[in-house]
Amino acid sequence: MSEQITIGIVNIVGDGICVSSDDGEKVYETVLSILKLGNGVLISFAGVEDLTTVFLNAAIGQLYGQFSEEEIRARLSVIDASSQDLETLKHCIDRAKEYFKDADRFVSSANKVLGVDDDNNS
Amino acid sequence: MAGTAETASISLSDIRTDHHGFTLLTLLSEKLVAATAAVEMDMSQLNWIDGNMCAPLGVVLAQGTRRMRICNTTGEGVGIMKRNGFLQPSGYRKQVDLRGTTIAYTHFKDIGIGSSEFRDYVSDHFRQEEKGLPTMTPALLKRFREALFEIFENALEHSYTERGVFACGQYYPTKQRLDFSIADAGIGFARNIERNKELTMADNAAIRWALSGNTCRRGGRPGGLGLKLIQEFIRLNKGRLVVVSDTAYYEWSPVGVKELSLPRRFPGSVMTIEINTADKQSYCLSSEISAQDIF
Repeated sequence: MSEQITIGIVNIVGDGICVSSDDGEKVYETVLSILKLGNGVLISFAGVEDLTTVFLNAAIGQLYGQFSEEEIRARLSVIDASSQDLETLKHCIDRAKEYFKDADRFVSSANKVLGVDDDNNS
Repeated sequence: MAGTAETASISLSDIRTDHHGFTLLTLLSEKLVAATAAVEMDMSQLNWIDGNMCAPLGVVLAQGTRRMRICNTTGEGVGIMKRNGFLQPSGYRKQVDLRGTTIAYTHFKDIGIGSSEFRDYVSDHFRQEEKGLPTMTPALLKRFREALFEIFENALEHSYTERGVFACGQYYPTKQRLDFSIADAGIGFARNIERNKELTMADNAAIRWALSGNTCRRGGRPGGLGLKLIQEFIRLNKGRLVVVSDTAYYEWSPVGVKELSLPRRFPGSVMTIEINTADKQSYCLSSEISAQDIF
């Protein structure tokens, strides 16, 4: 049976300055490993002082390239985020959804040009 | 250029954070690149420099390996450079900044550790209780710090700089403005876009492209939001944003947008944010976002 695992961003980064892509990558790897085991993840923003889109794109945005929006909505949640941080996170999530939808369209267009059948995905 | 056969003498005049200031820097850059011998930098005409402009000046002076000597260092412009540490690498002792309004000039040479060094820099200089800095609301200070981090991380990732990243700031208590510049010695916006997106565009168009939320990132990680959100923050704050890359000068202020060309190429890119430190708004949307609906 799957369970929900709580992770603290500040515990992974080491302090409340959550700004670099490298630190975002550490959060991403942790979340990814939990999700791949079939569990849910509760991401705590407790203690976060500074937060950038660079960090969030790496930490959470990338997940939309690995899982569907429905899966993420069902298995990922956040707590302890300030209003300002929620706003920044929302921007990044909306951007990630657009980005990976665009990626699909790009692949589809490229395949059309190359004469590859999308359904066969060959 | 005057000087002897062995040295070329170049005179610096006043440098402000505007189109004219960056024009002077690009012309200085051209002179330095053209100089084949040692260079003597005459500061006698430098009555003023906006302290933050030491960052792009650092990029310009970092070009080439010619010997450089600074002379006639008595003007007020030089005083600013002594207080913010710009002249320390040239052997001048850093002067005490009694008013605490300078934010140290720093050259982040090793981009491998630049991220952690810049974290320390921001933590040291932009704390709520830091002497000399204005009392900003926690919301404004947070947005300002985050903007600096976004700009710096962008420079590390996208500039392809081989000479590091330069930073410097200045607070103007009477005007209640704080100016901060981050400059890289990289390839510029247009070449970055061409390299990573295979799109060719004019230098001004490249800045607009970046500020519109586009990204040069490829692969599994999205991007492109940082500069757009910074511009939005500056708009709400009624501050000013100046972006320089290649021959393009872009400025946003409450008065409007200026997009101008520079006579020569700036050897990298510069982002300058000027904030209104008296701003008291909360920087939150009036309609609160629910954590339950965020994904």
